Amino acid sequence: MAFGVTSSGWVNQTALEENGWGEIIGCVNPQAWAAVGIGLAIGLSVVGAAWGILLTGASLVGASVKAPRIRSKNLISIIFCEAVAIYGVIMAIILISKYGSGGDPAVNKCSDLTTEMYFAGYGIFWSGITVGLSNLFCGICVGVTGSGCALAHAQQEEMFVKMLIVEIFGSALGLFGVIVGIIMSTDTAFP
Amino acid sequence: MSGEKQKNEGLSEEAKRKAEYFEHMSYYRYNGPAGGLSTWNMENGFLEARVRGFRSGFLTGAEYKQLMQCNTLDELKLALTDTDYGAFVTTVARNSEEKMDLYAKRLFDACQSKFLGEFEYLRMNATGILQTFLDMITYGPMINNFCKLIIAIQKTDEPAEVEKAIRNADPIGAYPHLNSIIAFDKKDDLIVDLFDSLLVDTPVSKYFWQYFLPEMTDEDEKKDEAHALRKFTTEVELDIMMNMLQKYLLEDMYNYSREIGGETWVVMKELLDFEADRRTLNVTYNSFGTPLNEPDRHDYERKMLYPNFGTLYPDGQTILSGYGPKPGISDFATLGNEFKSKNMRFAGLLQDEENFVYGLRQLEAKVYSMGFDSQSHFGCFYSFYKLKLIELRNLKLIFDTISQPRDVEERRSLFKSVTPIFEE
Repeated sequence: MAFGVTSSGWVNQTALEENGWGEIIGCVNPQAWAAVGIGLAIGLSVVGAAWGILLTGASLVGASVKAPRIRSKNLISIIFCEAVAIYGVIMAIILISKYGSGGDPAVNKCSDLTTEMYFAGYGIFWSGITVGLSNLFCGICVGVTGSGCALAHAQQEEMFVKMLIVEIFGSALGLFGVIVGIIMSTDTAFP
Repeated sequence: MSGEKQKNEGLSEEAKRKAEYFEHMSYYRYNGPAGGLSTWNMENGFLEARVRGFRSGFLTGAEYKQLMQCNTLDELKLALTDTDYGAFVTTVARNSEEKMDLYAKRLFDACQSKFLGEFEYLRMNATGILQTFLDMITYGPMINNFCKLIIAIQKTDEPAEVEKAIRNADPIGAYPHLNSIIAFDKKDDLIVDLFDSLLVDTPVSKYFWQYFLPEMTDEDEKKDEAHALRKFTTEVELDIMMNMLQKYLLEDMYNYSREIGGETWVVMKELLDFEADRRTLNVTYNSFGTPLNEPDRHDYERKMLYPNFGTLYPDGQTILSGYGPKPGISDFATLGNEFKSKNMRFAGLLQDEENFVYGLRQLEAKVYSMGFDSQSHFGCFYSFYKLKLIELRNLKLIFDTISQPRDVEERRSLFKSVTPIFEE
C-alpha cells in the first residue's frame, strides 16, 4: 500500500481526521523536504552568483573600452562572485551525501516516520535555505561593490586595492552561511 | 542623428508607412522607475561605464594652459595630438592658401565630430528609459533648429538664408525631415501651416501645443484651432517663442526625472534647479535694454519665461520680475544684496558685476561635475552633455583667438573666458 494513498487512489480521509491538520506538514515525507533543501542550496547560490556577475560584468566591460589596463585585475571581482556559486555546489554535495537512498518499503504510513527521519529532513531543508539565502545576498553585495570598483579603477590606478578590501569583507558573508550550514547538518542521517 | 537625407524615396507605400511608424516609435516615451543599485546595471551599466570613460577624456587645466600658449594653429594642432582629440585633429590638413579662420573652423568641426560620435554611440545603444532620457537632451537643440529656421523664413525671404540656417543647424538636434522646411514660403499663416504639416509629427510638438494652447480663450475659436493659431503669426515675437519652448522642455525634463525617481531624481533635481535658476537670471539680465524690459511687460511676459521650479522659485522670481535697470544705480549690487538677505543662490556672483559672466561659467562647470558623483543614475549622461558643450565652447574660443594675430592683452582678456572643468 503506497504511503498516504488508499488502493482506490484517494487520500485516506479517516487518517486525517484521526491525526489532525498538522498532517499537512507532518506527514510530508522528510526526504521531500531534504530534496527541496538541496535544490534551494544550489539554486539560490547560483542566483546570487549570476546577479553579482551581471552587475560587475556590465560595468567592467564598459569601463575597459577606455581603460584596458583594468581588465585583468578586475576579474578578481568576478572570481569572488563565482566563489559564491562554488560554495553552493560544495554544500549541495555534502547534503546529498546525507540524503540516503530512500524508498524503504517498511515506511508506508505517517505513523511509521521516525524522529531520526524528521531530524534529517528538516535539518537538511533549513541548512539548504541558510546557505542559499546567505549566498544570494553575498553575491549581490559583491556584484554592486565590484561594479563600483571597476569604475573607480578606470579613473584612478590606486583605487583598486582599497576597494578590494571591501569586496573581501563582502564575500566573507557567504562563507559564514556555509559554516553554519555544515554545522547544522552534521548529525543528520537518513536511516 | 547624422542628418543624412531620407533614403526611402523609392519605397512602396506600405514600406513608407512602416518606416514612418518605426521612426515615430523611436521617440517613444518609456515610463516607470529605473531600478536601484542592484538592478540598474542590467539595462544601463554598460553605457554608464562608457560615459565615465568619456569623462576621463576631458581636457584638464594643464592642457588648456598649454593650448593657450600656442601662437599658430599648427602649434595648436600639435598640442592637441597628445590629448583625446589627437586622432580627429591630425586628419585635418591645411590646404595651401587657405584662410586661417576657415582652417580653424575645420579643426573645430573635427573636434566636434568626436563629441557627436560619442553621443550618437550612446543614443544608438540605449534602450528603455535611457533612450527617452537621451532623446530629451536632444530636444533642446531640435527646438533651436526649428525656431531658427522659422525666423529665417519669416524675417528674410531669401532661400539662401534658409539654406544657411539649415547648414548651421545643431547636429545633435537633427531631425530627418528638417530639409522639407524649404518648401514653405513666408506668408501670413506660415506657423499654422508649418505646425499642421511638419511640427505636429516631431517629438517636440507637445511643447508647441503648450505654447499655443493657453491663448485659445474664446470658445468659438477653440473649435477652429487654425483660426486661433493664426492670431500668432504677425504678433508673436519669435525669440520669445523660442525661450518659452525651452522653458517647457526644461519643465518636462524635471517632471520626467521625478517620474524616474530614486537616485536619478536626487541628482537631476540639483542639476535642473541650477539650470532653471540660471535661465531665470539670464532672461532678466539679457532683457535689460530690450523692449521686453518695459515695466508693463515685466509681470506677464518676462515672468512667463521663468521656469516654474528651482531654488529661485517663487521668491527670487518675484524679486527679479520687478527689476529694470535704473539710471545711476547698479542693479546687480542691489539684486545681490536682496538675494543675500534671503540666502539665495548667485548672491555672491551678483556682487561682483564685471566678473559676473566668468563667475557664472565657473559655477556651471562646478555644478555639472557633481552629476558624476554616485552610481546607478542617469545624471551622468546629462552632465556629460553639458560639460562637453562647455569644453567645445572653450575650444572654439581658443581656435578663434589663435587664428587671428592678436596682442598679449587682448589674448589674455579673451582667454579669461576659458572655463576649466573638473578643477578644484
